[in-house]
Amino acid sequence: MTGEAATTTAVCEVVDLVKHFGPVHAVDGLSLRVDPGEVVALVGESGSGKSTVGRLIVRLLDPTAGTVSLGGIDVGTMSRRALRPHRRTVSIVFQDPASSLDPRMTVGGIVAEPLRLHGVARADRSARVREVLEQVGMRAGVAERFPHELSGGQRQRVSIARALVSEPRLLVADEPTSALDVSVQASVLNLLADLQRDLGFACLFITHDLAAVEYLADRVVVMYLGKVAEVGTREQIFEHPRHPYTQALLSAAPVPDPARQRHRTRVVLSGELPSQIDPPSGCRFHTRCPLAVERCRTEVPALREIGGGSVACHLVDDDGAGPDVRDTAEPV
Amino acid sequence: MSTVTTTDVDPYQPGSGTPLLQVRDLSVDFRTEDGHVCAVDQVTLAARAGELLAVVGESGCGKSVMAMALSSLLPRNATVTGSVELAGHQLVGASASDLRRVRGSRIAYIFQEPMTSLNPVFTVGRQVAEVLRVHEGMDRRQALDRAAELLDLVGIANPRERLRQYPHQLSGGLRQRVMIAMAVAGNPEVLVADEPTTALDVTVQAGILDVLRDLRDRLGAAVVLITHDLGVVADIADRVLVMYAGRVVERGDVHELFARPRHHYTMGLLGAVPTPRIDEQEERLREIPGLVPTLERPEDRCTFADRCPAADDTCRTHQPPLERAPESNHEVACWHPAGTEGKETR
Amino acid sequence: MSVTDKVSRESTTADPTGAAPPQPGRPRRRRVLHRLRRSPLAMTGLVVLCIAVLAALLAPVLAPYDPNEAHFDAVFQPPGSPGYLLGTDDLGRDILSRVLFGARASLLVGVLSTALAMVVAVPLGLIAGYFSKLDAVVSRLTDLVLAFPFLILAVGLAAIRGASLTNAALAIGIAQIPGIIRVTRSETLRLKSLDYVAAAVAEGASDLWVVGRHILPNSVSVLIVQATVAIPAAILGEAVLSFLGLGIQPPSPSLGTMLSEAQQSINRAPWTAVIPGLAIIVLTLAFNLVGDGLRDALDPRGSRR
Repeated sequence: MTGEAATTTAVCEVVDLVKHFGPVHAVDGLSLRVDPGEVVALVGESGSGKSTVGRLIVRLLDPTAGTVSLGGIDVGTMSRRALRPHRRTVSIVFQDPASSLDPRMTVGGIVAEPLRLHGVARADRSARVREVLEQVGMRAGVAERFPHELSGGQRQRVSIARALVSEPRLLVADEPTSALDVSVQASVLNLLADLQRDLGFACLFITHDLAAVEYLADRVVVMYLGKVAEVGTREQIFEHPRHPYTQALLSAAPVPDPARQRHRTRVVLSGELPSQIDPPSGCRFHTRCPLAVERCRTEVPALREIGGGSVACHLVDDDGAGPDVRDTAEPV
Repeated sequence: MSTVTTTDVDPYQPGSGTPLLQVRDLSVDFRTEDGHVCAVDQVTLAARAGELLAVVGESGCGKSVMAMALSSLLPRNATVTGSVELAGHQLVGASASDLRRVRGSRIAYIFQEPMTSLNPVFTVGRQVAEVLRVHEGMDRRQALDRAAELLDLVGIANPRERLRQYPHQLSGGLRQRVMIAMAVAGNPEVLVADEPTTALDVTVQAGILDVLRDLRDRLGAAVVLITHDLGVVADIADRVLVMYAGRVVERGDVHELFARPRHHYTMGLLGAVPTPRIDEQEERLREIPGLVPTLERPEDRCTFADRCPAADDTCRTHQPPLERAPESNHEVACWHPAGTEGKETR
Repeated sequence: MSVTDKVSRESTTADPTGAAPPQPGRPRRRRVLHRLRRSPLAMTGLVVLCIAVLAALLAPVLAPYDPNEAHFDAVFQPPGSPGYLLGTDDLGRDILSRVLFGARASLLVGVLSTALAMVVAVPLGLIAGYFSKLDAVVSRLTDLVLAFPFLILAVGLAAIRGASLTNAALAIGIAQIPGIIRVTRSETLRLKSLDYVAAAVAEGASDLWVVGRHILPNSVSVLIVQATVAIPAAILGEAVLSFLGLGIQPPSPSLGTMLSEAQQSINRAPWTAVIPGLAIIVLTLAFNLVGDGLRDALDPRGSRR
């Protein structure tokens, strides 16, 4: 890699990324960075734009504006040909196990494809495929099977194997467990945690499942309607969330323990998710925020770095102190 | 039969109401081109007035099939045996006209995908009114008035305006509320909700769960909630039924089930869900090795035995009955339930 | 401590995500054949088709007479006459032999024209579906050809190049191109949105790679069904053209020319029209039954439910 010997060149850095699909503002000015070996969770609900960000980073989509850098190199506007060697450094795992594997190819063929595309010789390919399949916990014979012979959890493991076969520095996981059953989710999450720890790749974990975020992530980026609401370490986000949306999200996610769940205060957001075609003025969350004031309607809050994280909210002052939406809610 | 009013009704105490829905030994078999599939095997449950019973399980456990079997909504290649009594009327084997009378007015459903459950070419008002006109015999004006009341009941702001809108103009959460309004329109005694919030965002889900809770308390309906989400169960259920491979493996009060699960599958499920940490200990998520079996015929063995850390030969050769576990108030189908004989399964 | 020590192993049995139970063996082929075998209509069609194709291919061997050989002493013999199993026509030519050779010609035109159409249309459909910028161009061209009446096309070709079997095949082939482009295009559009295509692109695959290795192989089943629908249409097309004198020229036997020539003698010797007509029906029906059966068998959701 031609990265300079800086203190830490980010594995991936995105600055003011914008993606519009015609009138739909999917992503509207997002910046984030993933350092080597860290797991960054990108959290949001539908319409947040999180999946779009994932696709922009692996250049499945071209940015409308803004930069996408991998290892210090701006790849956002590179031609397909120039991009090819850089594609090895980042790979993606998709949500749907049913459609992420070509039904006409064997598991071995699927996992070997990235190697083929990068010109690795056949003998070396088979050895590497065997190795990575073992790393994801699948038995040797699975290379001859076809996707339809595998369960959802197994297919996700194959997807992960395919993503890791060329030893990327960044793995983008787009809702990798959302389509799986609870017990299968557990094994895939454990697998991701183990692999990440042992192989040391950075991971951008895109999800709406806060519980999984708490389990896996080092840092968390919370998105709402195409913009970043808050960034922080796992502890900061879960213990001292500052943005009202983050607070609402945390309070809405039910805890699987009736004793705890029924004594929590729950914030129920009013109104509906605004449209991406005509996003609200000022702070995009103001239409549903129980604490919104006039300024929230007129002025877009800047993403300010406060105490090791960042928040985009007018009500949070420069020391990081701010109101908590959950105090306004009534207990159940 | 309870009536829907907008004034408060005394909430029923869970467990003390008479069972509005009594299911005994319900079994469902499918004939497919790949052979027989035994989807539901001898399920017994009771849904009481003012109580929310959660039916929990993963894919392939038969919970959705069981829900559809209650009012014979399954396709032709399904064979349903057993007894489903709704306020004294037997539904299994009932005639088509009896079933039509019962569906919508005494037992109503809410499904997972509100986009496909609502007809895109009719306004919301017309669809809700349809239920009222068919089951309550109202005329158009009365039905629309009542429809507005119902939309308000489920927490939809500006109900009169919404009546005139089409499904595509509403968000997922709103559509689901409309579905609930339609379900409640016929004053059903039993409300069956099949994964009603799975397709919704978590912030929207909270609102829907509130609506369901409200209906349970105000209408005194028996609510059967099918879900795989243990967080939802923890939030809203009174009693829980855990299903595995078509059978009931554990059944009881929600607090007890979470605090002292007895069946190893239940314990596996609870251990598999990441739970927010109370302290800094990091525990590995619990995995259940193996996969859910699909059974061709009911087998006289514990269907979970192959994946169970506590299984022995008895488990593999005899089906355990569902009975009260020692030192607890709930029932479990296990030869070696956890918490007995000092068997550690972690 | 290696990753593999901690990672759980999975066996390959049923699917916990609720999809259909996995089938061992090659991708769907065995399952599809099995399903096909279960449909009596499709199997009947397949059997008839096999017989018909074999008979047509072996026409020179099977035909008792030269199809153009006239037997003036045995004119208008009804079917079942000694020596002439299906009777003779106005020139005493054996109808059985003529039908065999005629079916051969029809099948030839059918297969040739469909093959020609596929060779041109499939790549165009792939391009239109995959490259949205080129889609507009290809689709408008398709609309143009579609708007052109098939018969006018055939007449035009006949006028320029003379009427013959090859020209009939050409005209019919051209007429089938738009339909195949559309089907290929819609299948390509559907496949393009699937995650495994996105995965290949993210890995650095070129457009050619993606289309050639992922989209085309997964379109094969749809294209096969399309072919089984196109061939009988082509056979009918050939019959029409020959009937009108724009295709195969008499005295070469063709089911169409046979019908044409039988127009005068239909009252006197109805079998001269009925038999070639039946042959057309049987061939077309057989293809359609097989096509329907294949389409149902290939449908991943299965026949019941």
